[in-house]
Amino acid sequence: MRSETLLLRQIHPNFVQAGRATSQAFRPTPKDEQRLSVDNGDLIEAEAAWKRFVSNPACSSAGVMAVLHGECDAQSLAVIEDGVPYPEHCSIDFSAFEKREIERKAKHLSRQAQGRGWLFEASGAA
Amino acid sequence: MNQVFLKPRLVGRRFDEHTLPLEILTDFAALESMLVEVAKREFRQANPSRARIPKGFTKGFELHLTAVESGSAVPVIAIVFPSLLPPSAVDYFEQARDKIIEAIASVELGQQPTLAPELLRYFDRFGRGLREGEAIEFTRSGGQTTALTPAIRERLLRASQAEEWTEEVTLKGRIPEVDQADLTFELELSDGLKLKAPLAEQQRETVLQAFATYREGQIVAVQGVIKRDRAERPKSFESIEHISPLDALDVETRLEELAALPDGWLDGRGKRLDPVALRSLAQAFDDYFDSQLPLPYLYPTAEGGVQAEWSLGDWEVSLEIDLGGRTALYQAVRLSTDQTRERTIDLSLGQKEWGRLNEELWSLGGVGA
Repeated sequence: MRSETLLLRQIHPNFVQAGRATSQAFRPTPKDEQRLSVDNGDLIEAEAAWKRFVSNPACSSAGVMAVLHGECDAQSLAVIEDGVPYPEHCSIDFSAFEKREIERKAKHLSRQAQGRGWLFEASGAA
Repeated sequence: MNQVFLKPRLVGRRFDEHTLPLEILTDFAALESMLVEVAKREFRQANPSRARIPKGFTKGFELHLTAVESGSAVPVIAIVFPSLLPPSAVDYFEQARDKIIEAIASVELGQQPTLAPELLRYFDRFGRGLREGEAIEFTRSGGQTTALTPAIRERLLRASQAEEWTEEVTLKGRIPEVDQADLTFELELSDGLKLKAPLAEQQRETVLQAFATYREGQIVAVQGVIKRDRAERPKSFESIEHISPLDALDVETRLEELAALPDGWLDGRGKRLDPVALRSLAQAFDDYFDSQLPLPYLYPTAEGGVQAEWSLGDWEVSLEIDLGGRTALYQAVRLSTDQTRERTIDLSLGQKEWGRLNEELWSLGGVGA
């Protein structure tokens, strides 16, 4: 992956208000084992990633935002190309950090993603 | 001359100052209409040989509000008449008053109301102005008290066999349709239900603006009287008092949305947020959050809490609120330098702690990015 590689993140509809996503969308929830799921933007387009994600009836997404691999590096967050459960899947690893540090890093990633805007937005999303 | 006829006691936050809001007076005007009809019924029962009510049955006296006493608020309603002695019809009015009070008491006691169904329909307007937590208390002839509450009013109306009745409400929604020829518009509620409403000239501009910005999600709060059927479904607006466009980040509206999230709202995870705690949080925002500051974006957290966020220039700010304990973790991060400010705020402590939150936000610039 390059520093400019976009890491695509699905944004849950309940994590969007008036078009703005919460910084929570850019950090793992307690049950995510400290890893944030993203897709490698060099290997898949935002719309295709969204379509695959919502094809699972248990998964909802208002659309796709992204952070750069380099922005994760700047936050000392490792990006793991785990390829599971599908080849484009990656994880941003927050496991070395405590809760407040994770929230601080999520604020950086969130602002950078918001500045980039929606790469794909489902019609009717908030 | 005048003599005291009725001294009901109004209970609820709106009456704590021992005063009456003007809008509740319409309920007492409705009570007067009800008294006239019930008094006529009493006259007919007492005079079965009379084919009709005497002309001028209600002439010669009027019901007046003469004072408002404390406790919370006790309006003093008197019969006013020009002669030394009250007209004889006043007896029937006193009987009517007692019958109405007994009808309320019977329903409160779980019994069938003692008034005829068609007379019970007057409760459509009498008691309509009461809000949740409010009551009008009456003293029964035996000295006990009985209270008309919104719930008792509904039971009286159900007993009246009416197919639908009216309620004063404030509903929020969007305006997808305006019919300028028919002078009506539709209010679309968050569950998709559309209510037809009359379009008054004084509200026309606001309605048309909300209609034009429907696709941008413009929400309006509509205060008025709706018709509701026996299944409690709203049918349409009968009349409208006010229409107010709401800010896209309106706190109360957003917290109402969050209160509707089911358990598992985050793709099977995500705890349900406590609706009572959310209402309390909305009230606290209204009471203590500095109205000059930018409104927060509000999101649910997977643990069943609320996260407020602000983007203030170079600062990203979050306030993670635990709805159970009402404690909140405040974190502000200056993105260019990574400077971080953190503190725990006890929102249950009211003005003082909310004041600290306001100060923190002002210290960051207080202006949205």
